[in-house]
Amino acid sequence: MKAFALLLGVFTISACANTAAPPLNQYLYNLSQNPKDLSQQYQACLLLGELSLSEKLVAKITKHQEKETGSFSCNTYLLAKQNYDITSLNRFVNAFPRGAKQSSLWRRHAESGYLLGVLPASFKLLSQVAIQDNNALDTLVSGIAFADGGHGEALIEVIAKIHARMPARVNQSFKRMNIKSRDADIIYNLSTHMKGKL
Amino acid sequence: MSDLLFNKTTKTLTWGAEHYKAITGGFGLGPLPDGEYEVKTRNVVVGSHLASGFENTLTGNRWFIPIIPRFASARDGFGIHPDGNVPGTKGCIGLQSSEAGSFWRRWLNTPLTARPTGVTVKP
Repeated sequence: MKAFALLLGVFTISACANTAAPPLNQYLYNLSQNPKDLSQQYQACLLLGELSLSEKLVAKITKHQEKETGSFSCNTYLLAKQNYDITSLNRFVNAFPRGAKQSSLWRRHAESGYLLGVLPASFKLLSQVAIQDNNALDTLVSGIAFADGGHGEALIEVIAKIHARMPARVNQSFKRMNIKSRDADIIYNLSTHMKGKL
Repeated sequence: MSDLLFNKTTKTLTWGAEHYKAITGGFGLGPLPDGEYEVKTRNVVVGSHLASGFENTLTGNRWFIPIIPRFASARDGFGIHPDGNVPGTKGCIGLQSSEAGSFWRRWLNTPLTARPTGVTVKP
């Protein structure tokens, strides 16, 4: 009887807790809007990107994003990830920083403890789009000379993967982005190494 | 707990009495700058989703132990990992596959609080 009463109590408390707490995606979104610090904001955004968001929340994010002035933001990333449509993806690619400006994205990712891997989720999404989109590919390629250490190794890997399948497209991107032959050679070597394993 | 020492001339990463063959540089902005680094023992990344550059080609294990300079530096993104795919790194400490396995085994067998929290990089 005591056990039954305890179980009943636990269920009652859980039920109360469930009705009081916002859904996880809403909770994370609130956190991303009112974070303790930039790391918390980044982590909340990253985790949100992994969830299936409610239509209500997507509508809210869309409304917020429309007020932004084309700068790269959590909202831009989330809408591209959730909607995966041409409008959201183009906005994401156009807002994504190029070249040395990508350093801040890498730094934030490192400071946040490399959540979900060494390659930031935003770069992962950019590399997926880059498979068919030259603007995204150029943006990805523009960071080659600036991504350092393990960041650089993670970045050249995703570019080499595309190069292994579409060498001409990547070579053209190298020309457009004035990639030095020394940096391009690393990609060629890695791409050749990968082709052996395809 | 003993910290790590990386000697770039002898290409050796030393942890207590054990020595592991490792390299740095060859690509990008060059080798790891000399100095003191903090080992981020709580931020280690492990898994097959990591790039092949972090793979121990003998075991298939992929891991990355982040290290951050304890001095002002414009460079970042450093870590200790197996030197997978094409030999060389963009500044990380890349352990040769033959040595990466024993280093990783020791890392796993060492409790979190007893793992090295610093690495000194010497020329």
